[in-house]
Amino acid sequence: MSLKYLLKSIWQSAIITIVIIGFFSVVEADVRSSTNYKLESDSINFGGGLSTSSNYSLESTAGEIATGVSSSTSYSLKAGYQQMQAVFISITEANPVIMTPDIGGITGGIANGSTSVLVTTDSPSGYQLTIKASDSPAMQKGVDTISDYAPLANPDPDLSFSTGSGDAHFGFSPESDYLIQRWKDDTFACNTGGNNTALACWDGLSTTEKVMVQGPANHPDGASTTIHFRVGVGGSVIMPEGEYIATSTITALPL
Amino acid sequence: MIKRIFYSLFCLVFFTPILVMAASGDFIIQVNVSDDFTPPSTPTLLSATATAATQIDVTWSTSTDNKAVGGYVLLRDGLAIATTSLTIFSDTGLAPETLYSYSVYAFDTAYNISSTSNSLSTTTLALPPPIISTSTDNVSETTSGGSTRVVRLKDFSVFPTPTEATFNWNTYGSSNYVLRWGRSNDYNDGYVAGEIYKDSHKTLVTGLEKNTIYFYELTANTPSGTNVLLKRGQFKTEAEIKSISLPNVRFFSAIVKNSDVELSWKLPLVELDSVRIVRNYFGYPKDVNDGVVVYDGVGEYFLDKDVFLDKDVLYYTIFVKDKEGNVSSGAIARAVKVTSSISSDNEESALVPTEEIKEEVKPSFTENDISLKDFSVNSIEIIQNGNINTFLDEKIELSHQDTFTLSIVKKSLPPHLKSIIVTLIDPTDHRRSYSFLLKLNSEGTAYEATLAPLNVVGLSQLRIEVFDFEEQIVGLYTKQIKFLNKTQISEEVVFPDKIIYSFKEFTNLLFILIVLLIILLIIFLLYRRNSKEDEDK
Repeated sequence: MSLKYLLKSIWQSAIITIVIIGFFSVVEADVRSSTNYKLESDSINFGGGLSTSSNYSLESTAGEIATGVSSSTSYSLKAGYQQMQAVFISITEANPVIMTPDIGGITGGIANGSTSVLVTTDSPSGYQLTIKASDSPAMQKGVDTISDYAPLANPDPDLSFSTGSGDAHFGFSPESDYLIQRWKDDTFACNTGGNNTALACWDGLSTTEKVMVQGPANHPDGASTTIHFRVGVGGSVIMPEGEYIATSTITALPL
Repeated sequence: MIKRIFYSLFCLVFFTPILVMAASGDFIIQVNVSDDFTPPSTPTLLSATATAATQIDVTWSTSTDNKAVGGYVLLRDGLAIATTSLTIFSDTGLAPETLYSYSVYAFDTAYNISSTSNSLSTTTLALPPPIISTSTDNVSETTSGGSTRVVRLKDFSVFPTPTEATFNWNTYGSSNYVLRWGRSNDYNDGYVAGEIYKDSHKTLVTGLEKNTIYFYELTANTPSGTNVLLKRGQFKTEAEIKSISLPNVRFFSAIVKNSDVELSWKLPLVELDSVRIVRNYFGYPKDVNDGVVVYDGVGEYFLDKDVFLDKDVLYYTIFVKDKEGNVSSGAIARAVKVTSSISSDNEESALVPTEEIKEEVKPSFTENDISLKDFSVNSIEIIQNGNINTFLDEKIELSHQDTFTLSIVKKSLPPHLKSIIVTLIDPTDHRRSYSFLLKLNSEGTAYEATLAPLNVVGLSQLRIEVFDFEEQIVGLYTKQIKFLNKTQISEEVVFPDKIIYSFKEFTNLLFILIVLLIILLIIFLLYRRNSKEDEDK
């Protein structure tokens, strides 16, 4: 008889345990994540709701006063419901890049430009910075396009941006103190060594995210990343005149 | 009961809001493809006027272009002497009573060049015997060479801050100037001279002490060589200190490429407004107005083109500016004209050109050092995260990723110094070094330079050079610095993150224990209940 009660009790307790574990998972931070998103916390809320799009996440809640993030150089205060577990991350707006000088449609040439962003986060695990293009190839003018840079050292980036006489291509090179290994160099090749050489390690943009940086928590100072862009047109390529434009997206994600 | 608990927790899990944290932004990159073979129109040389025995002022008309005019190149006797975007140039340093011929051409942004303009010739004035006026008022009139020239002061103003004073004035009639100042009417604290003859002047006096009365004397030279006293007076510097110490840029270097100088640097990780590069032929620019402004922006590269036309050595200082008007002490680089090889101080003329720096405990003063009289190296402080090291310390170890400030107590130094330069060897490549100016801090108590972290570990060396107004080194001090990866310090997180982080670590272990205890407790309770129910039956 006693064994029967024990087995019955174990069965019932197993069900209850599963439920309790589910309950604990609610209060544990970082409950779900993938390469594209991270759920900071699940919680019960009343009178609010959640709205999302590709560019923002808005959650309204009720019954809060004096909420939000306050900070100075020596403290970071997160006040209000759901603030305690939320990770703060921000990215400055990247200025539009007008590359200089103009490239001759007949003579060819090289045009350069760059933009910088400052990422600030208090995520204990740091953050990741990615870049992608809206179109493929990225640089377009109606039906006319400039190819994305294809590194000769593929899958690694090219240490130098090289343009043959028949090439017309568009590439980028990130520069940061927290580059991932792929963008570091030993002055001879990329994805080796530990140098962050300026204007080294070139690759083309694509419509899928390319990770440039993985940095640590840096609130309140933030960390700067500069992205250099270059278009090279060889002398035997005839390019139709006009303004070629690439639209790019930089995303900072807490880890 | 179990069903009720299960249902409640099901609702709890599936009806909670979801917070997705990511920040992103879109921006465009644009390149223009166009063929521009059209040169700008030819400018017309309008005037070439001798304004002094050593100066001729040249003006010309603007050019037009189908795209954009890039600038103008002024030629003297067929040789290019200046590249400018303006349409006026004062050619100085000329010989008296000498005939000079000028012409100009324009270029566009695609470097198409216009034809050369008409030519104008003029002769510099004769050098008259000096006549010293002892006028004590701000109006002077002298006669030279049979003609009357008047230099009269107007619109004079001085704006002091705690450590600086800006002088603005205009004159009726062109003149250059000498401004002297001091804490007594001997005016022996310093002087600044403007060489170009013009009628509108502005100059900045730096290195002043706060809340102090200064006397000044402003004299002028007319183009005919007459020295005139324009004004004597006094001002008091402000007492309030509002500024903060901004870190300098990192890795500032100047690489000579033919007649151009390639300037590159890394911005410090602070909220800044812009950086400004100033060029001077006579020494490192000490402030943002001490020379020709060649770059003002937020980039990390600039090509200073065609700068070796008539000078062999160029001095550059790059300043970091923030939105509150604070300015860093300045990082410096020197470019030397060469004919056969690439040269720049920061690339090739480092302190330890070939051998590696070997770690050793150095005495506070070595035979290679030059000591100032009554100066103790204990006055040289290296401050990082509130920790103060001095050159007397046996060894100095700093975090490789934190800003640090080098400070020298002002009262430990002689009163009249031209500049103090600190040079830091690159820990990863001892052939390279980076130099910075020390600047009097906002309190007026110490000369300071704040250096952004190099973010590399290794052994480095600091070298401090003290120059007097004769450009002589009167003090030279060196010290080894070791940059360490002190991640345990920098990775510390502040409240409340620290609590969250620690709590999460703790709960990872505690969670398993709690679950096990709860399971055992539930089994025990259910066992008792099932037994009791059976007994009741």
